[in-house]
Formats: sequence, structure tokens, C-alpha cells
Amino acid sequence: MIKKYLTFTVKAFQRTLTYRFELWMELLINVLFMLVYVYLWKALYTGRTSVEGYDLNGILTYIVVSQTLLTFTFTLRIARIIEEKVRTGEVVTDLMKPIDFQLMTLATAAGTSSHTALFNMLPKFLLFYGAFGLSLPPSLLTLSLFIMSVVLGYVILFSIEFIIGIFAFWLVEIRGLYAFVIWGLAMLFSGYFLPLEFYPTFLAKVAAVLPFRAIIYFPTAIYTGQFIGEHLVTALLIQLAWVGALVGIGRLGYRAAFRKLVIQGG
Amino acid sequence: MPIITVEHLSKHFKVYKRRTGFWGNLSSTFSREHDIIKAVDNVNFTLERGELVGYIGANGAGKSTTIKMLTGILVPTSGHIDVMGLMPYRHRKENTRRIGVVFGQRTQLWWDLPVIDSFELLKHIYEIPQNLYKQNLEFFSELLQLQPFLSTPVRRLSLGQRMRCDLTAALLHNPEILYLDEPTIGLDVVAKEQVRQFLRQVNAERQVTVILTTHDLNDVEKVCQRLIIIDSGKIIYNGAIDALKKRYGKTRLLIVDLAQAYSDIQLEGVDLTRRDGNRIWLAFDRDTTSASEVIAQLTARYEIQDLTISEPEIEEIVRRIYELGMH
Amino acid sequence: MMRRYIKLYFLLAGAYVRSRLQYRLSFGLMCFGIVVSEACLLGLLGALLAKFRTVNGWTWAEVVFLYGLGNVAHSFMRILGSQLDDFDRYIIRGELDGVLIRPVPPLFYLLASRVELIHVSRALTSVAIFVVAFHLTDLRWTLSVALFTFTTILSGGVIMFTLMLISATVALWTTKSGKLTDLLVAATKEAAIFPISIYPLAVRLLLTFILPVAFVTYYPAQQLLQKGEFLGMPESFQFGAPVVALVMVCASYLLWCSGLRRYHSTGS
Ligand SMILES: Nc1ncnc2c1ncn2[C@@H]1O[C@H](COP(=O)(O)OP(=O)(O)OP(=O)(O)O)[C@@H](O)[C@H]1O
Ligand SMILES: [Mg+2]
Repeated sequence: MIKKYLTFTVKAFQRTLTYRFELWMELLINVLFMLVYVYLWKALYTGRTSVEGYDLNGILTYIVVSQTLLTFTFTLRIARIIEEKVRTGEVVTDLMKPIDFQLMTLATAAGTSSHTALFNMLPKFLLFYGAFGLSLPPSLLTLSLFIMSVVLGYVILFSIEFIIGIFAFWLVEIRGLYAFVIWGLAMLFSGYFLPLEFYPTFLAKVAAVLPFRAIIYFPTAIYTGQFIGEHLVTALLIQLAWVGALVGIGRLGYRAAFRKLVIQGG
Repeated sequence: MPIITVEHLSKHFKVYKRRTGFWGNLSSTFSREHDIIKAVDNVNFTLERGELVGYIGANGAGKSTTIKMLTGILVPTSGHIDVMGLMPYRHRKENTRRIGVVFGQRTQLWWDLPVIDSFELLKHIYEIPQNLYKQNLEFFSELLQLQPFLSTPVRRLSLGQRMRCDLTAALLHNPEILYLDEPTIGLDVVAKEQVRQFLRQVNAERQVTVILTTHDLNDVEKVCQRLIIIDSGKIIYNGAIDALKKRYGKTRLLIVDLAQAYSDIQLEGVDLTRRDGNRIWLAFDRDTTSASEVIAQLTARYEIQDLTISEPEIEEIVRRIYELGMH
Repeated sequence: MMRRYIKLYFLLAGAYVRSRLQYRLSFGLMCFGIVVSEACLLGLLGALLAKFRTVNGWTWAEVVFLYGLGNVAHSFMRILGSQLDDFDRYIIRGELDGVLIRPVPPLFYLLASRVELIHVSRALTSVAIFVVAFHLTDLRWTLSVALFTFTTILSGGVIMFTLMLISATVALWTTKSGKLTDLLVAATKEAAIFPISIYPLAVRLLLTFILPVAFVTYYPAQQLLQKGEFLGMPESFQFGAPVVALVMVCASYLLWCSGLRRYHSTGS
């Protein structure tokens, strides 16, 4: 049962391996991206010691971790893949297979993303970790909770993209929706650019009711030790709740899409 | 003076090997090995103006690759192509003005726009004079009955309708040569017949030289005067269809319905090629064995209900050539 | 000849726009999405600048000015270079073959066949930001300032376009470059909207000589804002944008041609 889905993961992982030039170039440009922000913050912090509870080292750690996690947002593209499958009709064969479409998509995405994590995110992070003397999580426990939170955040991002992708069954074209949610909302409210503590109160309030902060801000705040104790547990619970809700909506959506396909023939 | 001359044409592709297994895959992130595929291998042929030639071969034989080189999309690895005095790749722009291309697998029309819009755009792309454009459009929409769906978006056309539009699109600028890569793929019997009829007519009335690839040998038999067979990149037959039949069609086929399923059938000078229940297919060489001999043997040993004798179809011949090669 | 190509450009672009208008909802949402994301980034930048007031001696008005300049150039480039967004699609699906059978230069044909009007919403947003920033700094419109600004934006757009073209061309070798183009476009834009004086020497050199986006914003801004910060580079760099644009056009076109030659000989 699990093995069946793992095959998708392994296949996707292997497929990604074939594009090696792209991989190196991507890493290079990613590094440039992160350098921009690291130096911006260094410039901003000249003559200051601490702002909103972050010292220079703290904020640099935050920026590097959050920018590293942002890579998932950049590279997942699940919504676009589903859109393409709907357009070409390939999705019909997927839906007719005796497997769960959502799980299969997740398994495939996990394959691509573990490749990204291994060959892009990890080296990138280590490079900046070494070059700028960043800090590690305060304890091994925090590290494992951080990893757990990253995974939960990843599933949330996946589910949001999955739901957008499902809209393709009705709209055919979802690039607009994708741009709005991923490039607009997710970028604004995920906290990739600066910690939510820096947000004006109004924006911070909006961010609190949306799932996006659970993608990047939560894991990063756990990593930097910003969230501890009760705060940390609450964050994980909020993530879990979002996972449940969004996965559920995704399932309902794809069931409806499936019905539509069966009744109207796509 | 031939309109197309192909000499010692070869196209080799480098394909990177994928290593198997997880570690193999991982190591291919850092280095890769490759194989060379000889998609087209030292091919020679010529086409005269006004000819209608079928270019056939099994999957992966090298048909599309040849067409791509002829149209200037691909550069040959070695060898020489002369199309109307031009080298298709070197003189790409000049060449494309004088040819029409249809890829059966993929439409060249604007997917979301009405058919007529695509034609209009092509008019500007090929700088077709207005009166010629009108004349051609009328001619083709009459011939192919395009009128009912000229203002339908291409994505809503059926495959057959779309192919008719693609054919028109490829011919609007009065090309001298028409290249067709699988123009009948996915069409039903009627639509196929319509395309064939159209190609014959265009060839006869407009002196368009046509080269078409196909997997449907009826296309070849009903449309083409000449046949080129390519196998694993090499040309194994180039000549008239009748000659092929004469040369390789010496075999006769006898289809016999037996009264009961005999377990073991033994006849001299005859091959049992197929059996299906009580029905058997027997092949024999008409030069060494006569039909009456075979029938005599049969009736002597088995009880027969029905019996037909047939010349092998081109299909059968080609199937044997693909399977066994040329002998 | 020229007339023919201009006409053809508009015809092909028009055909694309008409195709897109069949999906009005998506079109509208996308425009909205782009405006929202532009506004978001500006909002975040505003939040940041409000807290810190200056970046390396640049007032927040000056930073927004750079931001506006970079964005205007970027958005005009996006309109003209829409096709390069996911150019690798052409190679993966073999659609480039269909381009090569037309009696028109392939690059021209490709660029003309896709002009995303949604980027107009981006352009309008960034023009608005730029105009506001222009007035927030103590600049006033004079003929020479207007001319200089116009050339700067034009050259800047061209520089960013060529970078995008280069990364898309990579697909002719690797068959895949979608993410690469996305990233390069985003990274160079981001790098250009802050004063490059905040970066270490290596990054400044990179942004001056290899991915020369410093010529899109930073160096021309020296002329406009009279900052006199040349960081050891020749002062003439403030007028360098058109020259760099020209060099980049030649370089990227040569790369494109060799990429196309490669496609011609591999078909992938
Ligand atoms: N771009 C390419 N790169 C590598 N190999 C290729 C490429 N194009 C074709 N080939 C290989 O060259 C051989 C010939 O392919 P080609 O497409 O010409 O065959 P075909 O006769 O058109 O087959 P079909 O009937 O299936 O269309 C095949 O083995 C194919 O895998
Ligand atoms: Mg083929």
C-alpha cells in the first residue's frame, strides 16, 4: 500500500536527477537571491543591536532559514502540473487508476522536493551557515520539532496548490488563480521576506487567520528559538489543523472533479 | 532534374544513458555516458517533380527524422540534401516559403482561435497576395467542405476536421512540395478516404510533389505511385508498389475451414502461418507449388468445409518485411 | 521589410491576446494577482523602511525610487518577453518544430506569438510607484531628466530582457529551464532594487559585469539623484546603460543562434 506510493516518490526523484545543469544553475542563482537579503539586513542593522527581539545573528538566521524554505514555494508547481494534466487529458488516466489521486500527487511532489531539499536547500543552507556564522537550533529536540514543522508546512503548501490545481477542472486556466494565491498571498503572508513581528499590526492580524504563515514563518520561528514551550506546541497544533482542513478540502474538491469528469466527460 | 535529391544522408543522435538504481541515478548527476543512435543511416533517394511517394517503416525507423531534415528543422550529421536547388537548413527561410508541412500528431493552427483566423495569419506570414489567398481558400474549402466550421475554434474540431484544416493551412501559399508526417493518424475510414482523395487531386491538379509517411498501408496503396521503405535508418526498398508485390508477393495464401480441429497438420511445400479454431492459413510459393496440388493434398487427408485463396495484401508483404527484413 | 515585421508582430500578438481573452476570469484574476503581489512587496518594503529609515545612507524615498526604476524596466521587459516565461515548454513538447517551418526568423516569431497583457497591470503599478517615488525624492521633471529617465528605462528593460533570453536559451541545451528563468528574473530584479553598495565587492562585480542589472538602477540613479557613490567604478558608468544594453543584445543573440544551431542538430 505505502510501497505503491513510494514508487511514485522514487520515480519523481529519479526524473529530477536527469536535469543536472539546471540544478547547478538554480543553486547558483538561489545563492544570489539569498545574498541580496542577507546583505540588505546587514546594512539595515548597522549601528543597531536588536530590533523586535532579533539581533543581527538572529535575523540573519531567520532570513537564511526562511529563504531556504521558500525554495519549496518556488519549485513545487503542483497546481500548474495538474492544470497541464487536465488540459492534455492525462488526468483521466490518473483518476481511473486504482489509487488515490491526492496521495499520488503528494508522493510525486515529495520525490521532486526531496531532491530539491537534498541538492539545493541543504547545500545552500550549509554554505550560508558557514559563511555567516549562523546559529543552530538551541537543542536537538528543537531541531526535530523544526523538521516536523517543515514537513507540516510543506503539506500545507502542497494542499493549497492542490486545491488551486483542482480548480483547473472547471476553469481550464488557473494561472491567474495561481499567481494570485502563490505569488500574491503566500508571498505576503508566509513571512519569507521578514519575520511577522516586523509586520504592521493590521497585516499581522490578517496573516494570523490565513494558513500561509504556517508554511514558512512557523518552522523558521521554531528554528530560531523564537517559539518555545506553549507557543511552539500551539504552532504545531495550528499547522496540524490546517493540514487537516486543507487536505480535506482538497479531497472534496477532487471527488467533485471526478464526478464532473464521469458525468460530463471532462 | 529531380526536385529532391538525398545523398548519403545520415542523422545520428546522442542519447544519454540512464544508470539504474538509486546510486546509479545519483552518480548521473555528476557525469553521464552516451550511446549513438543512427536514426537515419546513409540514405539515398530522389523525387521527381509531381511525384507522390509513400515513406513507410516501423516505429522508430527514422521517418520523422528524415522529414525533419528535408524540411530544414534538423541538420544532417552527414550527407547532402538538395530541395529545389536549396539546402533546406542553410536556406531555411527561402525553403519554407516553397514547402508545406503537416505533422499529423500536432496541429499548426492557433488552438483557441477560429479556423479562419489561422488562415488569415498564415496569409500574412507567407505574404500570400490577397487574390491568390481568396482563390485558394475557396478552392480548398469547397474541396474539403470546410465551410461549416470555418469560424469554430480549432480546439473544438474533431480530428478529421482538424486534419482537413491543417492540410489547407499547409497549401494556402501554393507550395511546390508537401511533406506529410502521418496525416491519417487517428482518422476513421471515411475521413482517411477523404484525405487520400484530396491528396490525389492536389497532386494531379496542382502538380504538388507529395511525400507522406504513414502506418496505414492503404494510404500508400491508394495514393502513392512509389514506395520507400526505411528500416532502422536504412532504405530497404525504393520502387513501384506493383513491383514490390511481384517480387515479394510470390506467396499465395490459402484459408481453409476444416470440419474438425485436427491436432497435427502436415503438408508438403506449405507453411502453416496461423490457426484459429478450425480455420487455418496456409502459405505457399506459387512458383514451386501449385494451388491444385495443395488442395489435392488437403482433401486427401482432411475433411474440408470451405476454402479461399488470396493474393497477399501489401499489408502482409510489409509485415513480413518488417519482421524478417528484405531477402 | 520593417513595416512587414511590425505588422506581423501586431497580428501575431493580437492573435495571442484574443486566445487569452477566452479565459477572462483567469485573465482578470492574474492581473489582480500581479497587482496584489507588487503591492505586497512594496508594503513589506515600506514596513521595513519605516522601521529602519535608511539603508546604507539611502533615504527610504531613494530606495523606493530604485525600486520603481527596477520595476518599470522589469515589467516592460516582461510584456515583450512573455514567451520566455516558460520557453522550455516549446522544446519539451517539440513545438519549436512548428516555428522552424515558417519563413520568419524564429526568435521574432516566438516573441510575437505571445504577448501577455497581464503584465500591463504590472507595468502600470510600477509606473505609478516610480512616479510617486520620483516626486518623493527632490527630483523635478525637465527635458534632460525626462530623456535620461526614458533611455535608462529602455536600456534597463533591454538588459533584463537579454538576461531572460539567455536563461531561456539554456533550454536549447538542457531541454528544461523553466525554474531557472523564473529564478533568474526574480533574483536579478530583487538584486537591482536595493543600492548595490550594501553588497560585498564580489557581488557588486557580479551585478556590474556578469548580470549587469546595476546598470538598470544603481548607476543611472547616481546621475539622477546625484549621490556620487561609484564604489571605485568609473563615473562614466552612470551613462553606461545603453552601451551595456547593446553589448547584451549582441551577446544574447549570438547565444540564441548557437542554441538554435544546436537544436537544429539534435532536435531536442
Ligand atoms: N531528438 C532525438 N534525440 C534522440 N533520439 C531521437 C531523437 N529523435 C528521434 N530519435 C530516435 O531516432 C529514431 C528514429 O526516430 P523517428 O522519429 O524518425 O522514427 P519514425 O520512423 O518517425 O517512428 P514513428 O513511426 O514511431 O513516428 C528512434 O529510435 C528515435 O528514438
Ligand atoms: Mg514519426
